[in-house]
Amino acid sequence: MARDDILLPPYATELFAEPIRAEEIAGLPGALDTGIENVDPVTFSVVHARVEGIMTEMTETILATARNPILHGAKDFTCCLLDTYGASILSMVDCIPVHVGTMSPPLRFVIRAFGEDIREGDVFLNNASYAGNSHVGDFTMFAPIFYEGKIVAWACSKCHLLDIGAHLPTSMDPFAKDIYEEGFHFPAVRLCRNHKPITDLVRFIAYNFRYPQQWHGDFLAQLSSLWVAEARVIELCKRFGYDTFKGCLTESLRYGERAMREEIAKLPKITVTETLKTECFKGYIDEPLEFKMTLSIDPENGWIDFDYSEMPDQIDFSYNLSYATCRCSAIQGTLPILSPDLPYNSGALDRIRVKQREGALAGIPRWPVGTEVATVGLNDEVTNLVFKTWAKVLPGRALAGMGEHPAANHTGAGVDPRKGNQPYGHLHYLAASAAGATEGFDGLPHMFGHCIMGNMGYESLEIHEQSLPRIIWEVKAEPDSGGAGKWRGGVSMSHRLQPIDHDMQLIYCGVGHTWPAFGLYGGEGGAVADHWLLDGKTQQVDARLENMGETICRRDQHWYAKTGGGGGFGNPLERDPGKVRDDARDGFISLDAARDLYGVVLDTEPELYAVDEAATAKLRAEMAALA
Amino acid sequence: MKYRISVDVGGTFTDLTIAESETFTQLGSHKSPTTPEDRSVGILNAMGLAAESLGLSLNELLSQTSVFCHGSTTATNTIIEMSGAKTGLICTRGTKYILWRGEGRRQTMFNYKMEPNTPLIRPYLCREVTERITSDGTVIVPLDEDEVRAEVRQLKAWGVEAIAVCTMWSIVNDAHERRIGEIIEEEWPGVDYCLSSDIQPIIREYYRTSCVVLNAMLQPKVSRYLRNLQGKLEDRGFRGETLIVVSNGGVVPISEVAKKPVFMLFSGPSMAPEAGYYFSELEGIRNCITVDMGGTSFDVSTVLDGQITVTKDGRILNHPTGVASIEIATLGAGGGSIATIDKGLIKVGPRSAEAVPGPACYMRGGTEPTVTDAYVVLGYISPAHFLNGRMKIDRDLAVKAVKEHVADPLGISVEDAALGITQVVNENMLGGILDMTIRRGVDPREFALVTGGGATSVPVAFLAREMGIKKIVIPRQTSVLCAFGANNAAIQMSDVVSKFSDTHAFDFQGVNDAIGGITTKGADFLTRMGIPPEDQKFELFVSARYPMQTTELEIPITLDGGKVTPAILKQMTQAFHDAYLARYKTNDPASDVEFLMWRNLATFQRPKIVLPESEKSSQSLPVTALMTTSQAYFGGGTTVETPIYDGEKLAYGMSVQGPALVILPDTTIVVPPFAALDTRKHGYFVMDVDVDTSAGAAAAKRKREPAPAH
Repeated sequence: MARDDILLPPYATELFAEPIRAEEIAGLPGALDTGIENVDPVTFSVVHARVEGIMTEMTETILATARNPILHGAKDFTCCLLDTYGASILSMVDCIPVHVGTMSPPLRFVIRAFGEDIREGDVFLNNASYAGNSHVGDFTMFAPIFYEGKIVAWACSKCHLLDIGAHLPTSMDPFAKDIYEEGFHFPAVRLCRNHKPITDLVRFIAYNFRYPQQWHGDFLAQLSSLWVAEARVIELCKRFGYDTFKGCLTESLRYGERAMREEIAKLPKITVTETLKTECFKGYIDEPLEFKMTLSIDPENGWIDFDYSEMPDQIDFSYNLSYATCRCSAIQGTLPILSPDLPYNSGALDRIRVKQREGALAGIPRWPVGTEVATVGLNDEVTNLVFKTWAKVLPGRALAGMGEHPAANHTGAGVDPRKGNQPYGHLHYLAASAAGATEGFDGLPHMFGHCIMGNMGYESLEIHEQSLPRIIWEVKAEPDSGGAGKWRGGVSMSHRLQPIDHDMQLIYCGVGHTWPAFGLYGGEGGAVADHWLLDGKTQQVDARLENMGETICRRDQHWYAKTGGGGGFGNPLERDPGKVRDDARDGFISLDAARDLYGVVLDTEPELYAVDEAATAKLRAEMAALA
Repeated sequence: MKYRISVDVGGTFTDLTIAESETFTQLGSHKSPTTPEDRSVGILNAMGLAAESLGLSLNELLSQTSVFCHGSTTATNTIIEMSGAKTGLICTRGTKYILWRGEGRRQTMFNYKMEPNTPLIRPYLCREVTERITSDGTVIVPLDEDEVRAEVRQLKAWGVEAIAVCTMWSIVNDAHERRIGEIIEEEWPGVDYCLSSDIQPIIREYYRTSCVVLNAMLQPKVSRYLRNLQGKLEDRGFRGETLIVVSNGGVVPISEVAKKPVFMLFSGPSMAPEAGYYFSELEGIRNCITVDMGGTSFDVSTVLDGQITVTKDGRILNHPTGVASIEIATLGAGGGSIATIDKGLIKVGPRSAEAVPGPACYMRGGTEPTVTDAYVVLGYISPAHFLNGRMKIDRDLAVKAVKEHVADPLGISVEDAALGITQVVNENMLGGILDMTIRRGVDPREFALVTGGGATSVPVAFLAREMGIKKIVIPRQTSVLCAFGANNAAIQMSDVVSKFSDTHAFDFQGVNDAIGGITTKGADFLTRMGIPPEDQKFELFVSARYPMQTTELEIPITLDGGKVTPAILKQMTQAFHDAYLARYKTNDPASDVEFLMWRNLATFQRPKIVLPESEKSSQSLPVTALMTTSQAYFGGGTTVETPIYDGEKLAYGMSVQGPALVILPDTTIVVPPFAALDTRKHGYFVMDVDVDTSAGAAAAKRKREPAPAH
């Protein structure tokens, strides 16, 4: 029976934050089985490899069948396998960072809400941030997998949807001050029974969401991926035996914990505090607030503790982090610092603890304040602070500031005059921000911010113009966008496009527009993100746009949107002049920057350009003397 | 004209097979080292061996050769080594960063200490010119010809060796690309150049640019190589026809590919499925999986119901080629893959011991355990018989490597550790087979598994058992399988045209015009080949999808009198819904369907090679072939006595019950306890695998009921 104390909101945070206790799932057949102890290493290795294959298969299924360009083009989704307690076992290898840490909480809530009323062939939906989900736009669907009447595990696919039936045609509305303005929330709702969609609910959603055909296609894609995983896990149970497979799941969490503790044991016992100025939003944050966090490492006991309790208070807009994304900011800023090869499961992730304060901008939001932009907005900024904090612990692995998720990657909506004025909505993945530099490497381009870290894809210009009434006049690398440094910050991109024969509504909630992504150890900051409406004929600026807002781009205007570059690392005067020359030739830096920031004098006559060694040495010496 | 020769130039060996060209009887196969500095030398050496075995001089052989079929990794290696022509691109203003931008999606989660992907050519060599055409073909910005002239002069001044041209929507309206081509000829007569609308008119500017740039990079070098080779053959009396193996698994005359070398990128491995199917068909099986384990990689390709599986987009170094190619799943798992322990987990590969130092047992200083070492420890590779004794290996070194790096850290026996390594690597290989079968809704259990490459017949029985596959075919030509395939391949040309239309408002006239264009091209091609109309075969395919999707499914279509009619449209639409359901387990029959690209495949199937038959032996027991016995380990804690047979002496009708090893000149076949090996009258081997395990039972339920659309 479903628990009747989980009916009316607000729900207690423990319902999704606290791990499931054994007695809570004791009534579900098989839920407490942990399988055989000491599963042999060979079997474990084999099963582990196969589960990885299942995750890939789930991913490929969605890529091939989804209708929404954020899924099949940009790949804004993640598939995952979780155990009966809701602990994540394995995510697909190339998933979205902000999804990795936000799988368990919404499932814990589902498990608690339905108790024993969970059956083979059920599919549950939880997109509610006050029920543990990342944000309302992420349709997180869970299917319990049964074998011979016993529950084995849960398959999950989390897909970002284009529309969720709000008053604005977007799932990324910056103004939504509370959940009622955000769209439709489904706080643990059963969507399928006996492997069949519950049609009254499907009808309800299709009626309320814009672009119902597209949503329905995405829904089928999610079901396909869950049921593919179900079939494959059942095969594994048959092949290896239920007890052995369960033993492998248990071992997988131990493996994760072991791997994580090994990494933490290498760290110093230390406590550091760091701050970062927040993005400003006109009318909401006019003077920058201060993000502040404390990191404590306990190498003996294998804990990494973040204290977010001094974060600023929540604000009545939708940039507040949800419980899940706030916790995830610490994870996505920590895993890459420790080792990119760590398993992304609860065994490892749970060694990172985050003290979150209720009512904070980055903490636990107080019901019913908005969190619609919790995944890509300030989450990127808080993650930048996590990296900045780690820089105090491990300078050699430190990453300079990342160009954040800007207005360029947000919504454009309108009607298609070529198709009888059929309405359309679109999230733009034409241009991406870039990462900060690190010791030994320039910042990587094509990142889209920490929340994505390069794991999403670009749209094809021709496919875009075929399916939407637009002309994309330009996508380009923005010169001088990467912060100067011995290792240069990543080069960001921009796009410039024009709606054809209609006026286009833009709804955007960017970050990274106020402050440059920070440089480290003498490196300069990256260029900020920015966007404008230009006159289509003259290319003169008609309007400079804010980071958050809603506006119309007329048919005679171009929308030119720049994303932010990454911060530089180390003194630019120490950069290899050959690299400066290459950057200048390819248009990644200007000739002015080559001279004024890097102290490199170039002869641009020859095809490959040439470094004037003597003049460069002289100029660099002069610049060093002035510094 | 008595002979039909085919040669496959691989990285290490140049393989040759030869057949009699009137009766098509297989005469033999030969191997000679590849000569990377001038590959034609290795080809002539292999031909020399063939001539010698027939008691002929090379000139005598070549002057009696009617067809020479050539598969080559020349194009592949040119790209892998980045030794192609220095290439400049002329493109639409606003698109010079398309190659640098790529597709995003880096697929490495949290690693930021790495170099970004390298574009095929640097952005500064991508030259923008003012012009713009829209998706419906309208010119909204005319071509600025002066800019084109200036850019051609600039590229000339920089000494590029080839120019690629790719403008937005040239697939719908190629006027600007054509004009740019004319200006190139005016400004710089004689330079190699190519237009994207000529080479491969496919949608997606990144794919098309990548394709045309690859083509330009290859053009000078490949045409030089082909001219040089043809010249050398003609000098030695060759008067027959040279056919080149192309990526889609067909062969075409040199003249057809000299200008489109991008179609040769997978010329080498593309013959594996053709050859695999040849043997599978002899066994009466219309579906087969060909697997090939090399030193560092494991290749899988399939034939479904007699059709080789093709992908619309073959890739090289992760650069899209835009060319329909034989679909090959390549896994980083080979004999040289290194096993390590990572926090209690056995991992094998992708790191490989390469040729140097190689596996520990090769005695070249390698200390880390490889898959080959595991085989040696288990007794699957016998040191006394490795490569017929041509190469010495040391079992003690293999034991030491497995013990130190895997067995001791895990606290298990050396044999169990070695078995573990093989099981993990088998699992990786299985992933490749799954990729090509089950994940596409294809049930592999009734397939034949065919081996190519020297090392594949060691793990193949274990793989088959895991997949629930009962029958393995091991050709005697297993180590020259691609060359054998090339001698059988069909003359084939595939033409594509992009023409968008959907079921909502289908443009019959426009689509039929577009299709007419490519079917005419195909017929012209076969007619040029001198093939009479009654032997010309045409197949038509369309790439279709639901609205707002971007992945298309290619389905075969049949026209009515060369046209799409309303009835044909209905059939096509239903075929799409059906194919979609089979592949993805759901479909949406209420939805419109969009059609994007049409492909015509023109084929002439040459007569296939005939393998000589032998008399059935009066003995069914292989006692005359028994060489010795040794110990091998198949799990369960104890090694078992395992007879070793000489494969050359296994005659038609003989059967070997596992456990056993069968030694051939270039390969060892492991027959595990759960398998038996028979010899067929055409000389190849068939291994029957007992799949009655829990895995087999699981396979029976692999297909789940499709989800209902509603």
